[in-house]
Amino acid sequence: MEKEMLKSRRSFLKTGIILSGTALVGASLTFSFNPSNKFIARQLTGYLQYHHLANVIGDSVIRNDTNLQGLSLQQMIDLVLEEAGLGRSDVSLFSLFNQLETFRNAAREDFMNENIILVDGWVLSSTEAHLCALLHLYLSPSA
Amino acid sequence: MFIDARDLQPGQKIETDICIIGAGAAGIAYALEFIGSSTKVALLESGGLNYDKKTQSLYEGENIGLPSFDLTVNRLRYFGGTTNHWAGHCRPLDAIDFEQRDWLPHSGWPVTRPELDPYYLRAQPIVGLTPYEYENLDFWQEKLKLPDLDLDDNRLKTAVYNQSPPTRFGREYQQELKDADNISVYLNANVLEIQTNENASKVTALKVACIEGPEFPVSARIYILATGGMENTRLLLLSDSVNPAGLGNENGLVGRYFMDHILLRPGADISFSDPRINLQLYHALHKVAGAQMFGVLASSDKLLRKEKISNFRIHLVKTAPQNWQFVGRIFSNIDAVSGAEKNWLDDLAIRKKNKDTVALHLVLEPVPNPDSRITLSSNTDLFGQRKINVNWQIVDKDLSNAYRSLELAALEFGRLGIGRAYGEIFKDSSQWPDNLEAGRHHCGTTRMTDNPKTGVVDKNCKLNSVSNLYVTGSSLFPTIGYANPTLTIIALALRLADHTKSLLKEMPE
Repeated sequence: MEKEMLKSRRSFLKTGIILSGTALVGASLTFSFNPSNKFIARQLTGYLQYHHLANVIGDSVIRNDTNLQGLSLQQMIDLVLEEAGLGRSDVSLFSLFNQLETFRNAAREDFMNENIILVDGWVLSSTEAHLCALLHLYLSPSA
Repeated sequence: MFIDARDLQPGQKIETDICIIGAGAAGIAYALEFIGSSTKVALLESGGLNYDKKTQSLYEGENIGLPSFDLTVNRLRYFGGTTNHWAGHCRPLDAIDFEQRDWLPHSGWPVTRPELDPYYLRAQPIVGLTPYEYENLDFWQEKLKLPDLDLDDNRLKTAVYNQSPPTRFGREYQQELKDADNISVYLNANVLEIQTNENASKVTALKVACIEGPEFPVSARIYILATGGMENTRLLLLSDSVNPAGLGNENGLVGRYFMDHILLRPGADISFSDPRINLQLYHALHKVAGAQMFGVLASSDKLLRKEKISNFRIHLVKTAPQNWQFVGRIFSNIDAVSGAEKNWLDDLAIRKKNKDTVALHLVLEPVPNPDSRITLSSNTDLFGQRKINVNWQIVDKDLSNAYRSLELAALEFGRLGIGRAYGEIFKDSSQWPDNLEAGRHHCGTTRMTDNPKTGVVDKNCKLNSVSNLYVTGSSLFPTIGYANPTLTIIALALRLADHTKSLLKEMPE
């Protein structure tokens, strides 16, 4: 019985140490995390699938909107984040799923509020069309 | 009883209480109402019991407006009329279709949906359907257990459609009419003219002829014109002995406001972000509760009032995969396609298997347009009767209505996280896509209104200027909603039957 109690106390301490360590590492990573444009672009465009198609759409989105033409990768990122109600500081290693939820809601609201973009006959939400545009910039050789 | 009019003697006079011209859906439904009564009814049919090339040629005419179907192809001129090839789609018009809609010029019926409901109810079994539950999706859902789309009722709704077997009226009701002592069906009897008294206020007789046979008169106390959306007009215009403009055409309205449903098939396509979405309710026919039903997307009343557009419906038709089918899948994560992350192997298998897309087939109510019209041409048929010219015209507002209808569907599919829409119309909203077509529902040319100056017949379907001539069929419709017209045609015929029954009681012999 005593042995078992000792074992359980040890295991409790071990778990505590591991958890505290993980939290400390996580926190320090979050605080010191200063993602590059490419990191953010990769993370955001990771919400899209079939990148070869999304890239073609993104190209069209930019060609059809003079406001988007000439935007740098950073400016495009800022636009996409702003539309979703996010800032650069919201982007972190641990924000992937929260962000996805944010983009989901933004796209739904776009369709609800008719904030849409017509791309070669496709009816897309502004949020997702701009994500495609971001992907196109990200994949372009000059990025 | 059935009589081949070719066996009659030339000039042999037929006298009856009611004479119905035309044995299609309207004429037969009307006649059935008198079986077993003491009223003598003559039902005149141009054709025989089967298709005949010569008789069918009497339907020849020219489309001089927008391209439409050959006039000898989309109508059938023999016993049972066009029900001999109809698809069987049934639904009453929506209540809002009967209203005077301030945004839709020339709209407003002199009857309401609640007034017609009892007749729609009676019309159901005539087309082989039982429950009258078009406005009660739950009734069907309880039995089907199939999901419907969670549509925003400020935009769209799921509307219930019923599917008649489809009932071929000629076959279905032949025996019943044969057995009826008081009903005489005259086959091969072509009405050439509706003859009247000297001031064209009362019909005195019909001039009837056979292609190979005698000419003979038919006189009745009441005449029912039931020859369809185009021929009703033609016969009135041909009956010009007294009024050169044609019978009932004092205001030049006979033949005007010709309408047909505006079809875009497809108007758009949906590429799914979730290939597992269950749209069975919409793209399959379900046998349930003694009927066959399917769902369509349709405009909600709120939408029509808010946006001031015409009524429309959209069929979701399963189609072969397109080369762009994966565009919707780009947004699978954005659409939170459930299960995709949990079991990617299953997900992959489903995606490979269900490479389907859905085509949105738009059926749009046209804006009533007086310049869209049927007139007589100088070409003549076998009898030397003038054929028709059909000048089908639609207006700019129809195009913007079509665009908006499809855009709303696209918005809903996006909002629901199901897929993304693609359509030619979204590329260029300034012109109709190449696949614009007519619905082959000929309506509006003898419109029913409360005001004799704006219509050809009154609310009881009586020709305004003639005391004993009634019109029935889709030519009565002042507006046509999105529903297929047959059920309404039958409901109106039944209503007219009730009205004429009470009239006969009051009329002197």
